[in-house]
Amino acid sequence: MSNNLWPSFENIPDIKTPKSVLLEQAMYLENASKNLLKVQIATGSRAASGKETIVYRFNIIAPFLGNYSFSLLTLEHDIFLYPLLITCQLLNRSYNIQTEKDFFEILKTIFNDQKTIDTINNLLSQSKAASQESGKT
Amino acid sequence: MKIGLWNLNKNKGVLEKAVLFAKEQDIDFLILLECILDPAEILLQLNSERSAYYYYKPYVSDFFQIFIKFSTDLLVDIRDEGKISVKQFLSPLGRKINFVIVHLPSKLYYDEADQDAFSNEVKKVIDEIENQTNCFDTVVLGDFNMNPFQRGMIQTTGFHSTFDKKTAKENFRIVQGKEYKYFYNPMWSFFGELGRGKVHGTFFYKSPKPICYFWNIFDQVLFRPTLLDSIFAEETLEIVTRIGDFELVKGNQIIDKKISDHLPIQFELNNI
Repeated sequence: MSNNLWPSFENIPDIKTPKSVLLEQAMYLENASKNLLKVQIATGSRAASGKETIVYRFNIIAPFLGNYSFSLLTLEHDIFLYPLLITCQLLNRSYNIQTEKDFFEILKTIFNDQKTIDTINNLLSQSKAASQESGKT
Repeated sequence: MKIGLWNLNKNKGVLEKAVLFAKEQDIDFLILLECILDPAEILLQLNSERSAYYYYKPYVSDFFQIFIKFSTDLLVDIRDEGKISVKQFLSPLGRKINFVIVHLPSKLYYDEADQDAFSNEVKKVIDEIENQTNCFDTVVLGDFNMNPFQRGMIQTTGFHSTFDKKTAKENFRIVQGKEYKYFYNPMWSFFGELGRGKVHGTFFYKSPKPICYFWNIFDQVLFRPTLLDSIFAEETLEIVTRIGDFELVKGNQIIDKKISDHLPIQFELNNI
């Protein structure tokens, strides 16, 4: 009789983690901004009310503005990926998300909110001006 | 440099008082929280007699408005995260100072445990920007919505602020093998009948619940100990109760909410 009491873990489910979704969206924004903006997905943990969660922060960085950064949203979940909590500090809204489909919908809502668009456009304009001043375009 | 901070409680009718506060006190760096006034109108009034102030337009954060008497080139946006905004002041004398402006969650929405937990988020931002900028001369100011004695203000994983300058000047202490830097919190000195100033807080709230402090010091300023000897002029720290001929605190010790439910604070920094 085998001493290994564990079941088989060979069939690891092929799922897209929320972090990998954020990384993918980060890449899209960097490309769209022609690299005037960078995105950092910062990872941390939070312990509150006897519960530990993993926290990801979507930080948009403007290298031509002295690496100024602002946090567009935070995402947190426990060892299970769902439900997850998204807090968008820019829009002052929080979302409890139960499924991957809803997660995509909410990200789209946040990214397409006029305040988000205006904020990113503002950073892009100033970054572009700063990059031209420094002759690095 | 004289710094003034006032939470205007989204009052549209406070323009005249806010402008008079800045002019009368000769404020160089004016921070207005919960300000819904048009910045152009404020600027116009601030500069009505002579051109003195600039409006500092932030990249992102809009939970406050800043008006300064020095060149806007001397103030640089470093980071915004919700209602935490970090600017760096580049002194013409060569010194750099981080200003962390905060408006932390209200007790209406966060209980004390939530506020204490949230203070850890602010601490992380402060640690990160100090390391990022390699500048550890930091001033944190704003509406903390906590009293100086609340755990979030005290605990190592929060602001880790102390009222004892001597302790703060030890720079840090080690707890469970980990180093935690101090802030000095001068606001404690306003508590009590023998405390400084004419009032015991910046916010008055009379609650029918068993625990009630009446006077609360929610509007605070904290300093890293490196700023204590030659920069922060502690004797200038004041909770302002009068603007021109107008008393912000009525005879029965209650803040006149027709202006704002908060009192302004002001202080000076030397040698910068």
